[in-house]
Amino acid sequence: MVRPHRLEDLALVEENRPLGGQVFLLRLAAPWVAGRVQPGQFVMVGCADPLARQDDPLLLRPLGVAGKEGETISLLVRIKGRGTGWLAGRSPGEPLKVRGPLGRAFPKASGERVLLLAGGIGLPPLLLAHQLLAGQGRCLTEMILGVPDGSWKGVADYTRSLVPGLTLTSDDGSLGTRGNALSALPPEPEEVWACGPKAMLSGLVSRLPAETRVWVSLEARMGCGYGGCYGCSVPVRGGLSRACTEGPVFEGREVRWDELA
Amino acid sequence: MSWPDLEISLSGLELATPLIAASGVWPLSPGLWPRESLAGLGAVCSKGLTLKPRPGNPGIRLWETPSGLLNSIGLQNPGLEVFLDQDLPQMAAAGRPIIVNLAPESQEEIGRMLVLLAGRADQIGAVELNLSCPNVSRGGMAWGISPQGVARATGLARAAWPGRLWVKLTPQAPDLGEAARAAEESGADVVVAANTWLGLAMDLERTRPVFDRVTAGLSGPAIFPLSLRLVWEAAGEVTIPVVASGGVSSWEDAAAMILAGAAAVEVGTGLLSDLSLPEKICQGLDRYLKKLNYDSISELKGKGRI
Repeated sequence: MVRPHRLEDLALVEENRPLGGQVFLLRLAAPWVAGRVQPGQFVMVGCADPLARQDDPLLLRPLGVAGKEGETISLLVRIKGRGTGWLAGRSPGEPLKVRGPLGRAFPKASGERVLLLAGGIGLPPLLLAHQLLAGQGRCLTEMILGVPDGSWKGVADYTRSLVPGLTLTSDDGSLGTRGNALSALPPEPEEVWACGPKAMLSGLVSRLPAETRVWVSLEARMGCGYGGCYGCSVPVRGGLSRACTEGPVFEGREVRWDELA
Repeated sequence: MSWPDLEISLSGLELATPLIAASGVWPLSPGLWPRESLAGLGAVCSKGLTLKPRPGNPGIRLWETPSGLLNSIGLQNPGLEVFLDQDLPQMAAAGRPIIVNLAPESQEEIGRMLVLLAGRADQIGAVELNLSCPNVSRGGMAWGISPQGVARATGLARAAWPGRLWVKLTPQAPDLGEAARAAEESGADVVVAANTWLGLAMDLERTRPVFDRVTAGLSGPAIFPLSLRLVWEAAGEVTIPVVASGGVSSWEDAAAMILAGAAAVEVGTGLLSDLSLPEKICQGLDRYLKKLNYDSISELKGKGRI
């Protein structure tokens, strides 16, 4: 009746590797997440010592899962404020509070080809999607990654090491071709899974023909992550949905983009 | 895990622990309930319910502050009738008493809402009348501020609901003790002290307030000492049980509330940062009682009053 699994436990940092562009790769031993996480799902990570009082920063930070291997999950985190700044300073062996896996994953690919479109730090869920779809061998995936500038070289290299045929774009032309991720969109993709800035996602949805399936993963300010607080409501057709529970993956045309904060 | 020394009876409602999930942080659907939180909870409060469905507030709804959280959710809920049809039966079957938090938007709605609960008493541990939501323009806090408003709303609810009636007060009341006494004199079985504190955040990038409604409710560890003072004041004025609510995020906080006179303690924002908080509080209280050589948590109640 209630959730069948425990959501929250301590994970141990296995690796913390700066990749440039204020982004770092955090690998955590979190077996209860690694065993169940699906592409598009996320975890919430505490940004204070979990063995002391965790008053400040108070809230856990929602982070998309980028990969899993055995009992380990990978996160790609961009330093944005106090919480992520604290996370950037963690060393192997340190414990972190992790809650997850949370949210609804991308649905099963309905066709044979899925295009993965990543804008900046929207990359993580698509990396996990690539890992699992490629692993199943049932579905051909291509990935486009758009980054701001050359400072993201480490992120691009890391992505290319996992996705050999990666198409790379950068706003200033210093990595891959000049332009944003959308500028590399092929003419008639069969199905697109995307995560990135709102402008990229809404632009994608408006550009695709109505018959193209498009799923987007949305970022939202979050309180609980488990469906209690309604802090992460996003406007969708017919009302409001919780990014943490009905999302973060939504059918692209269901989102009321003009009202999205 | 059970803690026999933590069992309480709250105006006749038996609770396995004195901890209650506060309204606003606990999902309506039991399928979403975190099992590790439920382990330490004696009861759960529903989201704040209005007669008609409410979409909640537009714009930013959450803003983290030092050791605190401002929220302006605005009572997003499916409406009382949908709740009674779809959520309450499932919630009631999940093994904890359900406290139904009602947030009427007019005095006339108080009676109309409570009439809808008739015949459902077996599924309802208590009604928590919310006279304290700071994030809506009608009802709520506007009544809770004055003893007359509290008395009027409580009296209307009492006349329409024979079951247990809790009244959740607002810290914006200039004299919480007076508000608590007004609730007791008008028929409340329990007073809850209290709710979020009115605050504001400024968005420096947009050079305007963060929240569309300008003000929002502050919760979390930052408000704990303020809440403890309110519980002290309320417990000094009433003979009915006082339930503490506001910033509890450790067993020490819960113990302090009980020492000040609280019979039970709600946890809200504390769950956001630690799903195991209720269980940890139970373990801490259990150890504390043993250290003091008390057999029951009720022996601790009010022990700190001088």
